[in-house]
Amino acid sequence: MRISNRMMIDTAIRQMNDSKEQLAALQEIAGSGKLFQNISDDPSRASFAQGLRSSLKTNEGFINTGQNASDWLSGNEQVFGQMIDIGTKVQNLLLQGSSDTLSSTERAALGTQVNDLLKEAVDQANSNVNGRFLFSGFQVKTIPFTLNAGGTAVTYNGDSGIIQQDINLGQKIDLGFDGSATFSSFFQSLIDARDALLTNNMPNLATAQGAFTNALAAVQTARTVNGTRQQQVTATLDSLGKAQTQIKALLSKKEDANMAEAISNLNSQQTIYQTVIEVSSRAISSLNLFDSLR
Amino acid sequence: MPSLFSGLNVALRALLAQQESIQVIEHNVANANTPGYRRQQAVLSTGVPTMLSIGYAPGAIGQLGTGVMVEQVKRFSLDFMDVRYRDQVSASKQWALERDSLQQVETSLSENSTNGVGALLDDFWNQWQALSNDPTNQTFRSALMDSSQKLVNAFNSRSTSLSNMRSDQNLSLVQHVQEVNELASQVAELNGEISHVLATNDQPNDQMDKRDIALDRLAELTGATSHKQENGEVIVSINGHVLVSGQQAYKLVTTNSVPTATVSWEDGQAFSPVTGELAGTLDVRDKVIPGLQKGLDDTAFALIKAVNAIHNPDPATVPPPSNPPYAAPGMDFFKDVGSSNGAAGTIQLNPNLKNSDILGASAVNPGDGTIAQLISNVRTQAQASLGNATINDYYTNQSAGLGLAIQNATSNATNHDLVASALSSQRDSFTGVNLDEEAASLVSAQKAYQAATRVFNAMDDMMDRIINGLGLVGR
Repeated sequence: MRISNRMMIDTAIRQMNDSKEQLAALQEIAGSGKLFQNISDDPSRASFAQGLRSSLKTNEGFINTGQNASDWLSGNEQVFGQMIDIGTKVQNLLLQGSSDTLSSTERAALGTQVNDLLKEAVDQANSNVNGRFLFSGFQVKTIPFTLNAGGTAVTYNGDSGIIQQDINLGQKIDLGFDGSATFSSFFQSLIDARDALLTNNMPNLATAQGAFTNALAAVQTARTVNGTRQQQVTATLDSLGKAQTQIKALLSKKEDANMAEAISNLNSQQTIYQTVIEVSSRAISSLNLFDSLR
Repeated sequence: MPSLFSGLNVALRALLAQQESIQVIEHNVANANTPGYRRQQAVLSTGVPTMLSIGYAPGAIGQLGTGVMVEQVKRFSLDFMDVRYRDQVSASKQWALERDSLQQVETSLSENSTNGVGALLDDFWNQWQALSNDPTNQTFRSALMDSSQKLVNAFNSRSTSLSNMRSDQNLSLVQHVQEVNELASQVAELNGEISHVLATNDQPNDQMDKRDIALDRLAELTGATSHKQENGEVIVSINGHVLVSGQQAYKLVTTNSVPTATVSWEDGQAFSPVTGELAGTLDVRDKVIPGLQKGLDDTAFALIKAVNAIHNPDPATVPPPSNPPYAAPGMDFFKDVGSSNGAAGTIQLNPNLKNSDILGASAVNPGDGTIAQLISNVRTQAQASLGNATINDYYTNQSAGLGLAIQNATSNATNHDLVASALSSQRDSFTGVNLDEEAASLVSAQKAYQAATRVFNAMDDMMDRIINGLGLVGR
């Protein structure tokens, strides 16, 4: 084939360009650590990676939600635990109070103790997480229970709404408890028992004792329900965490460059590029017959 | 019968012919790097012989040569090579243009980053979900507003840059059409010069080079094909319509509308190039960019409708006071738009919406995050208007489509370019200047010239002998 000078130069330029282009692409990979910068570099991988990133974000959202739910349920658990402690103390006091050997003064002293525990119980039921009351239904900014000045009644200010939360796609759990249903009879039987003790009214005390045992059992049931919910949230958080790890690994596999490979590819391309430049410089400046004629 | 003077003449013709050869070689060397230059060669042939038979010798003894002459200055060119090259280069240029324009679009959409619309959509859903965790939290509300504003801005800016790019393509279309018209006039003019020179039995080599350059460029622009006629003129046509015939150029005209200027022939016929940069520009301007714009608009429209439907439900289907989550009437979250057309450009938050108006929870049930949760769940809901894809999936699919289109354009451009450069090499191999060859020819012409001067010397000696040496007897 006849080779014209133009051809030599054009070929040299094209080869240098091609080689430099490849060098730039490998440099990009080695520099960024990613296999592709633009979707067009590898559309199928890129859209897969986008899907994975989107799942990561979604899971992240659910993990936040799960942690929030977990906080809320821990708050519930703490309140239930305290309530049951209080309840146990009250039951002991009532047991003492029902003893025939006690004088009315001693009963009245027990009544005062019960009154203190009542106040403590109301305080506990008014617990909040991050400024949101746990037991006022949807009215999270309203103090759920108020004890009137005379200490004769506890009013419920919340509603019967049950706060719910999606803790994973399509997985909804109840966080809240109906404060009134859970604690009202507890408080009422406490008030009744206190009054019976203060007034030394034995029949009323027996009735209040029975009612209180039932109310305490209801709180215990609620605590069990709450525990189940906590387990559910923990399990979901666990599986979300595992999913995150897996997705991250998959994403890395899809879009991260193997650095050892990237660097050695870059090095080898650099060598190729140097050779191409060397060869091209000779081709371009190559001697022709004009140089050697004399 | 030869005379001494005719011998001088032979030597003189040799001198002149070699001189001409050297001049052609000089021209070749000078133009070794000129784009589109086709090498030339002085074709030497023997002069018209004279009869030797007349006079002193009986019968014919043969003819006597009269030396050398330059028969023509030949231009090395192969028409079929040009045709094949132009066919490939027009496709190569078309795809290269599409590749470059689409890469520009891809860069401006920057979808493979944390600022892509897809990523911002994810953020948006997550903010709603965060709000559902604690609907009374003012920080979450502000964060949601912030994230929504970012999302809206992303839609707006992408829509704007798409329409800017469309205007750019329009401008480049108009400029390309001007270039085609100028080239057409140039070819028409050169047609005239070439046929005129050819009629005088001469070789208009350099004009032909110029015309070939113009024809190459016309092929790159429009895929124009040319057909050579006997008088040396070419007829140029684009997809069946004549652009240049003889010395007459038929121009293209454009309308002034931006960004949808239409191109037509002077005679009113529609202009529809199949390949070339113009075809690429038209494709990007009229198909690819509007397609992307529509994808963006549809996504924005589906988002507006889906979020508003929950944030501000139709009272006919969800009577506000009776349905618990909607204890208070809602407001549109995004400003409502009538149709998806241009939705990505006009999407904005409801200007009247304040932090406190976000229905993460209703005023009556402040702790109930159901509405926020419902909106967050839109991310997994198939949208009928998007062909039953989720908003995120639809958008991801759009950007993957663009990526594939770029990949397709890139591989087409590369393939056609490879063939075009191979053909260009083949053409160059025949038509290009090789300096070694020229040096060798130069030496040979120079030597021939030197030899001719020697012959001249010999003749001179002989004449000197006759003029000054003869007839001296007895002097």
